[in-house]
Amino acid sequence: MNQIYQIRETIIGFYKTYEKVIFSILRFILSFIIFQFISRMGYAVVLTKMPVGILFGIIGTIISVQWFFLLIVVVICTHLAFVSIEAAVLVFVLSTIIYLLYIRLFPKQSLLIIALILGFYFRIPYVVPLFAGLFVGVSGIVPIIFGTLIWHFIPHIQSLIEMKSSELMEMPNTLANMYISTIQWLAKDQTTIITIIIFCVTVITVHLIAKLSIDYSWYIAIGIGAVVNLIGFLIGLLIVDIDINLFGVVLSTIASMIIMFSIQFFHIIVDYSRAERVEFEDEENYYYVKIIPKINLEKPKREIKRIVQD
Amino acid sequence: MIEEEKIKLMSKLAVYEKSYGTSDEKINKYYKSDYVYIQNWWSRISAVVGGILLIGLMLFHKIVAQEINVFDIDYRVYGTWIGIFMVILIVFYSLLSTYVYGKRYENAQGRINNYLQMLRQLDEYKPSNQQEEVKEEAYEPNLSNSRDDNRLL
Repeated sequence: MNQIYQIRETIIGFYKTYEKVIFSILRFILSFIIFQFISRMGYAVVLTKMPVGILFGIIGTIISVQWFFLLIVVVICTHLAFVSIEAAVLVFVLSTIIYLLYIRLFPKQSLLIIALILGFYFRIPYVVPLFAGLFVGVSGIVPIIFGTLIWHFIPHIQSLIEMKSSELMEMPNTLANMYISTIQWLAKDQTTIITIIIFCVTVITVHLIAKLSIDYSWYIAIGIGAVVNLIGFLIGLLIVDIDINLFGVVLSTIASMIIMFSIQFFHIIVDYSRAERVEFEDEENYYYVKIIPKINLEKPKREIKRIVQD
Repeated sequence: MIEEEKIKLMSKLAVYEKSYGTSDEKINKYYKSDYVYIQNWWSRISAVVGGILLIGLMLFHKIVAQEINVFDIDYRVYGTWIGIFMVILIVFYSLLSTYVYGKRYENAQGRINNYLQMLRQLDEYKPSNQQEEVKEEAYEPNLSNSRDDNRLL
């Protein structure tokens, strides 16, 4: 156990020293992955080129969360506009509503939307409700609902595109058909609705258990949250015929649980300041200071052997 | 002669200025009530635009999906419902925005208070003829005013 703590201290120390660089690289990689994922739509060929993807990755590293969301919406709508103006309009209106009513006010929590979509993409979406329950609280339910809706809406976009009109005069009718189709999808897609309900229950369960004043409550919360998630999907599979592979859910839940245990194990670093380089001056000197925060973790007890000469 | 404590303080001040200085300065330009008031208006504008889009979609659904004739719609009834919906939306977002931006303001104030405390400590290291200058820091006049009336305006 002591060795594990030592490894943790080393990793945290390394992370704190190079946090700015690591954080920027991670942000770039994530933005790049997101825009590569969007470019798989492939309708606007110019946006699928690698240099454009890298450029979006760099822009995503620099801009604020709110602008990042707007950029994503613009890129998706541009792709759609190349193949169907009506689909682009519909997606733009829906995204604008989400942006104006939620993302604008809660930019940081909105990152859970992206996290959940990436989670679905990498087949570990269950890590996000566990994370939200532990670190965000009940308010994390809203971005999780949006994220789940958006992910399940993505395959539906293809069927919207197939409705595209050939003439300009048909556009209002096509838009109406697309809208009706979207409403019908929303009302009938039981997988989405059940997934949302299970995620909400998981978030609330994890949050309530994590708040209990018992030893290891956070780890217990993760474990029980994972079980609730698993049982939820099992019930969903038995009662309502949802389109989900149970074996995949089990594997993914276990993976999500392991990831969350690791995050919880290292989460101490989130609250601390990071390494900084600052410059300032007084009447006598110029100062170029590098500040590396001290990390006071539980240090392993050292065993001291006394060797006494006979 | 380099004083270690002084450098520590100056470093902490520099880190604050680098991390939060600009954003906190923007917030601290206003009284709390004024800051919340301005941000509330932006939230209300967003809510109204979002609400109009939502109502537009609902009406679109009525006309297209339910195939209701535009001329058969009882606009007085719909107008009343739309009005009630918009009022509820605006009130809800006003409350939400007041809470969110109030909290942001308080967080910024907490950080600025720490900053000022460190400035005062640093002031103790300075020769007496320079101490007056530090007191005239740009942050200080606003901080003494904690006006907090008409929060929901």
